[in-house]
Amino acid sequence: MKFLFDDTIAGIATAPGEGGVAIVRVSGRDAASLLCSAFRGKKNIAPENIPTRLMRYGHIIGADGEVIDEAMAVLFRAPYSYTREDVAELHVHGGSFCAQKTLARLVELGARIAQPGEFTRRAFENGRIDLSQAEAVMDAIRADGELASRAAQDQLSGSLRREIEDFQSRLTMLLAKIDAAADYPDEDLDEETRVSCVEEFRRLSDRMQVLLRSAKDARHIRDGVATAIFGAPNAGKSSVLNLLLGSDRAIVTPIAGTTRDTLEERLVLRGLVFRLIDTAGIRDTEDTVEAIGVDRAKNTIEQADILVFVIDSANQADFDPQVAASLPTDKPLLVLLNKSDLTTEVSSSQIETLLPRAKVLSICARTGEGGDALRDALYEMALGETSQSSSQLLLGNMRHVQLLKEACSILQRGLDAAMSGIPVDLLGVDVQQAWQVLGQITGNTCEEDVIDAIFANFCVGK
Amino acid sequence: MDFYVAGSYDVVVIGLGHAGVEAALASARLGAKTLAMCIQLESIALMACNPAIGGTAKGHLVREVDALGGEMGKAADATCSQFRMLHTGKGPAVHSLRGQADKKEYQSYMRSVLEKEENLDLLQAEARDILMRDGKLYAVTTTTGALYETKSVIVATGVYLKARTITGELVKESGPSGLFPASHLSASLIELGIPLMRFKTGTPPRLDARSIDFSKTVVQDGDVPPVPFSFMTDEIDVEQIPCHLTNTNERTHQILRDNMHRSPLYSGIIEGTGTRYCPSIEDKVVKFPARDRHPIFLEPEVRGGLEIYVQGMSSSMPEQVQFDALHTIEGLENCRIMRTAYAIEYDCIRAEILDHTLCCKDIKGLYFAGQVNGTSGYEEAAAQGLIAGINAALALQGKEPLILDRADAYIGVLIDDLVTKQTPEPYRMMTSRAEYRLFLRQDNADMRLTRKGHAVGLASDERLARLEEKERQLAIALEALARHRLRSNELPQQMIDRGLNRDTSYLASERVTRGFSYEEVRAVCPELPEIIPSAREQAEIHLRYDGYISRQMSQIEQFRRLEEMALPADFDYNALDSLRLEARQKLSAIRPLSLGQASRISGVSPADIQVLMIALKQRRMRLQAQGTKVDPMTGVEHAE
Repeated sequence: MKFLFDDTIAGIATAPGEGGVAIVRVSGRDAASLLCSAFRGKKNIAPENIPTRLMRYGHIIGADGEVIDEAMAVLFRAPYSYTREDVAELHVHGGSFCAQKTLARLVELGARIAQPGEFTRRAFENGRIDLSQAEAVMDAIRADGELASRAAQDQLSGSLRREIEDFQSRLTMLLAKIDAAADYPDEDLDEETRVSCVEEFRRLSDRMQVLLRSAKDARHIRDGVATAIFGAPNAGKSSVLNLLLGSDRAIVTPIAGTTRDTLEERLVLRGLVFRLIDTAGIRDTEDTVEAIGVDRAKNTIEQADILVFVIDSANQADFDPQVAASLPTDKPLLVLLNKSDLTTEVSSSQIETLLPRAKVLSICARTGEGGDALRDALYEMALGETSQSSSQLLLGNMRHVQLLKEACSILQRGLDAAMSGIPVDLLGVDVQQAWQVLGQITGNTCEEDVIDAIFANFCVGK
Repeated sequence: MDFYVAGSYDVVVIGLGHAGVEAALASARLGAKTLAMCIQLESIALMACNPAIGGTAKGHLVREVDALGGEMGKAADATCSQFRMLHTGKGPAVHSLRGQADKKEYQSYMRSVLEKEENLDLLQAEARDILMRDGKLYAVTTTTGALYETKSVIVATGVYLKARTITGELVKESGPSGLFPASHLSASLIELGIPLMRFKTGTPPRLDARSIDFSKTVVQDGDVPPVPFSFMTDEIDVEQIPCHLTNTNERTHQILRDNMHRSPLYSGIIEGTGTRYCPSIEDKVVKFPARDRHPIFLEPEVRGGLEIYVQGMSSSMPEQVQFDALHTIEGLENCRIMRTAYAIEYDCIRAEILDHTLCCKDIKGLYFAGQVNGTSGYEEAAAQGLIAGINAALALQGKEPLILDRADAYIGVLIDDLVTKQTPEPYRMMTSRAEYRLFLRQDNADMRLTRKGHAVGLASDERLARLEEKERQLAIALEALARHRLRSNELPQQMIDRGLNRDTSYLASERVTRGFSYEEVRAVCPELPEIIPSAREQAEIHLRYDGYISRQMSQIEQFRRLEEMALPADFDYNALDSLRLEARQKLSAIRPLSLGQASRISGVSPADIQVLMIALKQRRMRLQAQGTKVDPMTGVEHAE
């Protein structure tokens, strides 16, 4: 068996931290002999005689013959392994100590420590998985939060690829029709071909848009939902943050303008990550440091996915109609009427008149009243429509999103052209181009720069 | 058998059909001392099937052959009895020129051109052996005992190798039209290690004009004025004769459907290669089940002759089925068959043994062109003959070969398909095979190819001068169109009717973009110069389809990037276990020149290409580490 790569890599395959078992994985031409040197089973078996895919009991043995750990070992012979190379796995006791010592022993024996994602890269380069699957593995490695790993799992199983390949096969069928019209010009196939193009361009771009809408949710799921908390100075923004996080991360003082910078905290609600950004109060200020904070606050609002507007219900001056009017209208907005234990100067009906699209909640950040309702509201706003159907395919990778957008806009341009009466055979250019762009997602068009770019992400510094 | 040395040549061309003629002329014109032999000199440039040059996709080939300096376009211009630019209602990529040939005139024109060529000797003989000595091509012998020493051989035997014709139950050892088959050369080719296979093709029956009721058909006249094929022909002064159009109907289709099991090509259709098969009438009935009729053109074989060719009824069905089907067609109810349809079976080579110059990869100087490579059609043959002839001559002079790629020309598509894809049936040029057809138009063949033809020495100085003049006028026109505005107050009524009004100021170029012709616009914009029609046409296409054309150009750029990634000839595919087995076998057999060509081999998947791409990178790094220079763009290796 010959291999694409000369060296043998080793790494700890299980997540760091406490756990029952840790797995040390080895891949490459020397995997079998490394297994033999590092592991001693009941019988001494030569590397070439190790049975494939059979778990054996034994011990990890150090350079001086000392026992490092009790272990199970298994060898997957090429090409039937994760990387399509010979792969050995050593299952040792959990916790990083045994795994680290085992890894160190393998390095001593000649293995190289794997770069992040390198096993996956080998799987890809050896043709075992395609680009979208490889990227999904990378996403899974980076993902924190349960929903994120579910989205990554989705891609891994190839459901994204199947969807894109379906787009591609529909485009291929369409191209066949356009080709037939060009090959048999006497048969007058142009008009029926045009109708097919219009229908199919429309149908496909619609389906792509559904997928693209899910991209926003997927980004939320992977990167966390950027949630801007803002309002007039001293309206209680930091208290709201603390209410959500249950800790005194932000300084809560009664002096207006205490929070001079934006603070960011991560909150996990039912598997979904929120990046809570506490901003300085929005008001005109003479204080330079605070002024920078106010600018940032405006910036944060621009970039946030969700807006939380905190209003002191006891202070009529807090509800500035100008600020309300300047808020972006395309983002979910939650208005919190804070300090409901004091007298109420601002009523929810007042807010509903000015900001009809907002969801309004009354809370008391100090006592914790309304906290559950607040968490529910955030979760619902973040997931939007997708929270309904948890099985939906989520498009989570930014490169994929961009390519899909490009394909979608090519089809929309083609749709316009088809309807404007352009000669049908020209539409073949649109179809080819869209097909090509989609192929960059699944990797079934082969462009070197795409592969290079993805490799750059696989292995930092290599 | 004993041979006597009868002569010594640079190039020997075997066969003088459409491939052989272009090959012989190109080689002789590039200075190679050339001998061209065929079994019967009367059969030079014989049109054994349809009496037409050009047509869909094929018209492109004729223009390309002409742009490079070939003869076919000029011969068609000099002898055709009718000219029509087809599909002018469709996009510019599909426009194609078709000439109604006069078979006899065409043959005598070509024969006299061949006879006038200084470096060229003609010979009636059947080639017997191609001989090698010390691993080099050495001579061609004939069945009459002559031996001609030569450095290169171009095999252009068409359908003659071990040919058998099949007419119903009757099987004969015969070439087309009752000509002698070539019975010896196949054995010699096998001895040289050339893999052969059997192909089959056919031709429809010819009808007696007196038995056709032309009053029930639609008259199809030629274009006035006729548009020439050759970029060297200014105008054609000929009395054009009409063709006639009729249609099949449901009854015709029913007869064909009822007998589909009797069609030898039908099994090929079910295997399904999409749209890419020869459009015989039964194919069309299968492919377009919803259509209740297909056009049938009735075409005279020679000017003033009785024999009528039935275009659109090409069929491999038994004669009786054809007879019944023909009699259902309007105008043909009482038709009499004058020449029976027949199928012909012949030896052809597996073209994947050839490189892109059409030279055998393993035998230097041995070229193959035309139907012997598994193609069908006069134009396909001529295109290959031209490329083989040019490259045989260039190789003898030690010059760089002329290779056209898929984005240069239909010829490039044709040859790349032949040497890359193993085609299971005769290969016919079709529009859909050209990925970049919006750029590969028949109207710009000169702009794409004449400079290449001139550089190798085949296209004349005058041809180049004509191209430069066309380009000069085009540039002037585009510049003027972008600068001047229409005189709105002078707009004629027909422009008002098409949505313009006299109070608005219009930019000339925008009006052309929106579908007005250059001449219409010039009538109300006198600042525009008068330019030749070919430059006008370019200006109109350029303005109307610019967006699509420039997108096509960027696709071409992408395509060329993979084309330029060279695969070394000694690359050991069997050592790459990450390649799937089928890919390893195909790649080892075809030995593609580039990653691009590899990606077009059936059985090589995108995943295989990714593996190759990575293996190439690793090889490059290894070689660089050893001190070999590698071009970073193309991967071409230069030993220090």
